[in-house]
Amino acid sequence: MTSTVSLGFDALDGLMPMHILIDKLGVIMHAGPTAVRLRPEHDLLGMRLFDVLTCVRPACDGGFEDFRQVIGQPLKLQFRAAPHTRLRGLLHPLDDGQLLLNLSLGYSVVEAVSDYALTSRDFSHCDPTVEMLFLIEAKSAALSESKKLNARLDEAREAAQTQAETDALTGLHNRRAMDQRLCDMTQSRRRTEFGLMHLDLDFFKQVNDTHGHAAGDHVLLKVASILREETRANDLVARVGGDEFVLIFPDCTDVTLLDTIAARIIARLEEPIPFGSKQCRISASIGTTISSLYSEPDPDRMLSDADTALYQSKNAGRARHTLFKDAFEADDMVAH
Amino acid sequence: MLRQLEDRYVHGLINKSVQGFLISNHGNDAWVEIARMANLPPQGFESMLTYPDSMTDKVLDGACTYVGCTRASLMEDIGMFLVTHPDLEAVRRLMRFGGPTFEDFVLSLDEVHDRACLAVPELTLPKISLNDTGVGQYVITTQWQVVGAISLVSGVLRAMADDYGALVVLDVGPHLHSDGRIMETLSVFIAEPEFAAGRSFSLAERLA
Repeated sequence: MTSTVSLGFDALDGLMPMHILIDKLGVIMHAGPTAVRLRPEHDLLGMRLFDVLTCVRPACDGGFEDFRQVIGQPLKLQFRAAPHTRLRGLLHPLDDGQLLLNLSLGYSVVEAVSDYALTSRDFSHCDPTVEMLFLIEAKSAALSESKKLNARLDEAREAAQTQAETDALTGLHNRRAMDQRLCDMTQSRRRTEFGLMHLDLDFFKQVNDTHGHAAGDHVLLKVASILREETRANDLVARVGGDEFVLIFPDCTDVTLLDTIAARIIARLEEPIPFGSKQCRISASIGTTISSLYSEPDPDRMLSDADTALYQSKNAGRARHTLFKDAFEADDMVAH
Repeated sequence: MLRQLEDRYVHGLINKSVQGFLISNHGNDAWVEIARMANLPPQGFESMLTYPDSMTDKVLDGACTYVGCTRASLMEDIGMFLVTHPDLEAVRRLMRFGGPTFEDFVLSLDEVHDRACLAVPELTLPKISLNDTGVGQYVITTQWQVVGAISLVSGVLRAMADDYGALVVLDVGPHLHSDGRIMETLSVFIAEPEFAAGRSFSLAERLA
């Protein structure tokens, strides 16, 4: 035995405000208050349902009998006239051959609320649409806060990374940055030819001892700016010790050119550096090697060879530049 | 257990709102000084992190000392700031989802805690309960780990009454402690639901 309930239009309007009632010929007899918010009553009442709505899925192109085929199935419907709001629907037969179509906005809710200026009163008290709209807004507000946090963290991470690769006093790169660059350039897959210079200041200790550490720091800043000026933006200048620097020249293995650069750097470093009323005088010894000397360049080996050339410069009386090849030949000559 | 643990933290959104209020109403120098008193860095709170509740108390105490006001009046001002400041229009809109009339809004207060948790699970707003005491009359009770929740609610209600155009009489009652939580009460009398033309609200004016 099935029990039945009879509902007046008032109850129907309150329980499912977006329903449409169709007679047995497919003509709209009644529309709930929210359905009427989407289409004015005169566009609905007396019209044939399939002239107002088209059934997108299951596809059925219009006959009322087609609608009868989809009773009880989940329906995707769309208004024929603009705005072509998409709706979800469920069709239920009534005893006297009438059909009851209940509708909801589904995912077009945000658009529909705007298109039809819907308010919370247009939704049944039991319909969670307003709560959903609340959540959409609340979540997007929370998400935008999260995005701001991410942006700040990203900035902080970049700043920390720059700091980790920078010499605090001179703002030049530090040993960590140099190691990373050498490692990148010697990796077989991305191998780049380059010149490597190891520079050690001469007479810097005297500056510190005679004029104090403030003068020493001042000289180091001046050295840093000279090294920046005498190199290209793409070259790497790193302070790797108190008065020791490493310079990397990508795509430059021209020993004549490197010798010219080294000579120019030494000449500029030898210009007296004023500090207060005093004049600080330094020079530099440089040793250079180039990656093309090696079949498989290795950072440690190259640094050691540049260092060997540097000490060759020191031993030969300082304030000069030596290419590693020369140093090697010199050793060779000593050996023979 | 988890519940108790959560109760000892205050979400960054709340702390950051307090910070925003202090900077907006009293200037950045005031904030820097209050942050210093609370052992916080000058940049203050991150809105999407959580902080021990003692930190919130320190900032609120520092602010009261700096401004020379009581916790209750500070919290009430913060409540009004949250709803009325143009930069926080999102908050006003989320409040207006409470219902089409001011009375609907008052009746939605007991859902505020759960609604906030749905949006941001770690965000534990004061728990609010409501008792009808007559026509248009309610007694609101708040439970929170920070003193002054009721004054915060009172500030929000005052500003929301303006927003809806309602005339209300609010009266903060005494507060009592139980198990580390503070219970406070407020009586609300809606004298005139449509006293003035409030501000408009539509579901669709979504903020970017």
